[in-house]
Amino acid sequence: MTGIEVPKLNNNDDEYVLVEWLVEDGGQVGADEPLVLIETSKTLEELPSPADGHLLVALEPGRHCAPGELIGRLFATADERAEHLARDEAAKTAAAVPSGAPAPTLTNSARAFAEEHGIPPERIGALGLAVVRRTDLERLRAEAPAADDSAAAVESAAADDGTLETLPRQQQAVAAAVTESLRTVPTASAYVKVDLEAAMAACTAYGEREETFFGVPELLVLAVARLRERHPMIFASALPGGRVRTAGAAHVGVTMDFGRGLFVPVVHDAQSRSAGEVGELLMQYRMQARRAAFREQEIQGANIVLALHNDGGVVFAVPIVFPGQTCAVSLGDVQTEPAVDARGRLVTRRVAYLGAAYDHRLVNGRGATAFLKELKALLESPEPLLSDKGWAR
Amino acid sequence: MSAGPGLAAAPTPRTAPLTRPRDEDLDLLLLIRHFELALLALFSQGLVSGTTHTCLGQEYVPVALYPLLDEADFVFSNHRGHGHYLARHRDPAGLLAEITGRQGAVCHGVGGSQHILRGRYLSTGVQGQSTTAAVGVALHLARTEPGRIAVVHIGDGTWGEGAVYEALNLARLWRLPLLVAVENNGIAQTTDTARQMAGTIAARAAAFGVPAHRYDSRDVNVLREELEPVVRRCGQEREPQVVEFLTHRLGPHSKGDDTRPAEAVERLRAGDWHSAYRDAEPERFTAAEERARGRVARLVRETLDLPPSVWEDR
Amino acid sequence: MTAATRATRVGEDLNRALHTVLERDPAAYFLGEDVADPYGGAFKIAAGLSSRFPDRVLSTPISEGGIAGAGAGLALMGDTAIVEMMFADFVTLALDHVLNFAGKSVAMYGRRVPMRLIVRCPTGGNRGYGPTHSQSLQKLFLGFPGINVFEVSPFHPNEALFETMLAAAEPCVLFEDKVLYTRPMFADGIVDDLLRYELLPGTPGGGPIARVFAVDDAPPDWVLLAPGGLTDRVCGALRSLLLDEELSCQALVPSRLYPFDLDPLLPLLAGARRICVVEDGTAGGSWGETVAQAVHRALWGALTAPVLTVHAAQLPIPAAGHLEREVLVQQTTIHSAVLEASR
Repeated sequence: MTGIEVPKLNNNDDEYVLVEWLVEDGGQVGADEPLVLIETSKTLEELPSPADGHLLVALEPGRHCAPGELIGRLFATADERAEHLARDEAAKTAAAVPSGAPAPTLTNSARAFAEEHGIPPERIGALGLAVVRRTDLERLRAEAPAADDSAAAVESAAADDGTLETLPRQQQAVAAAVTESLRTVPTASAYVKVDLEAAMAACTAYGEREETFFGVPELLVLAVARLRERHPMIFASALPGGRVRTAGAAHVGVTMDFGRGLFVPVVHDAQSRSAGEVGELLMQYRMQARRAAFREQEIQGANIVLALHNDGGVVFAVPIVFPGQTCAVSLGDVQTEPAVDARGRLVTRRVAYLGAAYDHRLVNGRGATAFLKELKALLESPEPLLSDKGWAR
Repeated sequence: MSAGPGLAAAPTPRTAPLTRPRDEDLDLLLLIRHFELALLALFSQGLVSGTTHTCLGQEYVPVALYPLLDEADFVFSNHRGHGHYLARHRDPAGLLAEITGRQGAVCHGVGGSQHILRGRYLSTGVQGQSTTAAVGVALHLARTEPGRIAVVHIGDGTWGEGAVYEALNLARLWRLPLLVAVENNGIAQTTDTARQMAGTIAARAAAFGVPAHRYDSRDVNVLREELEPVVRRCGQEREPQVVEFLTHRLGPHSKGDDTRPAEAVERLRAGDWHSAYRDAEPERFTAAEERARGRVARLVRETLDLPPSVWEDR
Repeated sequence: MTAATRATRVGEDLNRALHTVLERDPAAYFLGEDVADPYGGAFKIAAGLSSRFPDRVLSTPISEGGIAGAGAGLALMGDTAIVEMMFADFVTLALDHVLNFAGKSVAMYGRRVPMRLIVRCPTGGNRGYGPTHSQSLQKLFLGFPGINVFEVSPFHPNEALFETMLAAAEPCVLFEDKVLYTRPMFADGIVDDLLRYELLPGTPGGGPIARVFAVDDAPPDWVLLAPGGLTDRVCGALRSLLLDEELSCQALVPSRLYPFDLDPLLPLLAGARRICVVEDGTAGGSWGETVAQAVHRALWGALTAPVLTVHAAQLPIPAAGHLEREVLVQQTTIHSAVLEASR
């Protein structure tokens, strides 16, 4: 008998949702064949079967599961499966209560009260009661009004002329990340203005030549990746006790949001990729972002993020440094401004603000500024970035 | 002499001479007779309360049958059971104390004469009840004490109860050593047999495949001789038997409830063993009777002087 | 509990207990109609017995009186007799032999006579069997000297139950709810995710009494007393009364219904705000009323209201399921009665 355990799919989720079994309960499946769909906060993963066998489902679709949890079993024969099922049935009935601290039972009145006042399960669990009644929750609210008041005030105000909703899981994950960022990363930021005339001309030419789409963000990925060796702290990760883990490669995340949620897919080993590869990859990621269909590995592992705000006339944006990273680069929208050329004539030029938010524990203003200056320089003379020669590393 | 299967007619008084009884049989017959008579006298004198059912005229049945039984055989008696008790246990003192609620009562005065348990003797108060209990006892004996039997005394009236038929059915099915001793005295309380029984007792037994034997003799020796093979067969072959004694009840059902016309009872008295044995050997009989009468009179005096019985082991 | 064991059903546990009795006592007999293998009795409780003990397991004619009397005769001789009534309703045919002979023989001969007779009665309705196959006739045996009334429950292991009954050496009438036969025995103090139980010692003659309570074991608003046949419905009511009405209720399920041992329960009952007795039979000379009266006598000063009694309706039990549910006590009957009385 082989157990089907949920692998650890990412670092940010404590639990996933079992969306669908791709094989019928009792059906047969071969090793490595698609077995089950698991949804993380951001992605939908298709897990292959660990072995051949007859499937015995242990967790129903729609239920939550944690990394390492047993969600099913594979048996060599149908008989073995049937035998196990019969034995398992009563063991489950008997062990109706998990050992340790079981989740409390709420009376219907208490449940309604908790929902009405948005009291989260952890606070109810913290009461340490096996059975929770409405009066217990009323007392809880009375004892800790400050924490709840503003939220409650907002809620009750909203209740008058709005509706109560729950954020989608994807957005809840984003909320968790940015809250964590605010909590753990002391940031400062700096901005430079970049002349994009050369960059945009080069992108247009490249695009025509290669018959593909290629834009400033693509160029920025290449540029940022190229700077890792000279600016290691920008790509490093802060550890407790004043320690730092530096990166051996540039894994550049790029923000994408087409209305299906904010995703940050990663161009791994961006320093080793050609312009063509980067262009193709970003194009694919954009299509996935439109479908909200990413795999975990595609959105994990970034050590720097490009926060793109290059539309809608956004001048510049203060990006958020993702927890575990040190720097986030923002790109504002293209603006056209008047300028005076080398010969003193009045011309227009296209510019954009390039910003960097950085973890001031690792990087000071000098380092950030230096990084931005070099980035600007690369963008303003972009030909080497677009060379089809593969990067050495 | 056992009559063949025939219709259950009202038994006719017999006046044929009886063979000479053994001393112990005569003494026992007279003990029972005078015990019952003394009891009736006590009731009419108001010295005993409750009820009693005397077996006057029927005493010879247990006297004839019981010497054929082993100590380990079980006897189920009924409400008319004094003769059965005295024949089984020779204990008039215990019985009289029981009936009069005095110390020394065989059942501490709780059961009275209808509900006595002593050794392998038990009397029950509800018609038919004993038959099914006897089936259980017979089953036990068949399994653990082969050769032993359970005797259950019933009357003609008892055949109205369904329990009797259930018991016969079970006894035959399970091959049990059950001896159903029917004292057919032609009357059930105040109801003649002809007015309460359709068909015959013999046919009832035959319906279950149970051998039935009918006896109209009052002769203790004759009866014993004829009963002997039946008793033996019952125990050894594990075959239930019905033995029907055509007899007469000379006294009332209990007391004061004899609705039969006096002449009818007188006619029955003509067939009483008492006069037959007395007429056959007047001297011997009279001496035995005096002994019995004296013994009973003494017992009555002594018993009435005893303190009330105590019921402790409840 | 290991994965290898499966929760035993009440009927199976009863069957095993019977096997054990016959195994341990070579003088134990089992009588009943249609009990021989492979049928094993109308409810299969006798399964396997006739094969293992052919001499002592007797499949009988339809003679409730006859076999009850025969059982009493065996008991009189010192054997143990277990007599099965096919349906509790038919025990009426055996009443003379059980009440007038077997029960009274214990004491009516002026000294105690052991009578190990157990009359088993599959009881209760909610199976659509109709008016003469669905009754709960415990009341017929109340108040008879020498007669004990027991009822099977999923809290009380049946082997111990039989030991208790046999130790009494008096006739016992054992009521076994038919629906309960297929329900699992409880073990390890667990009823379900919300309810737990413990066995209070009770008295040696009466056996332990199960106390059912919610996981928080809060002081009870109500204590419900009920025979084992109502376990599912009472536990369901405990649950719904807590979750829907926030009434904390506990249940007491005795093994011996009569004589009823109230004394060990008095502290718990005295601490309850209200007391309710639930039973499947009708009102009128019933077990519930007997218990209520005993509680009134013992706790008059402490009670705030009379003991609430919940019974079947005073009607023949209909065969059609929807009608039967109107007449017999359901979980909702208990819930409503308690709720109503709480207002």
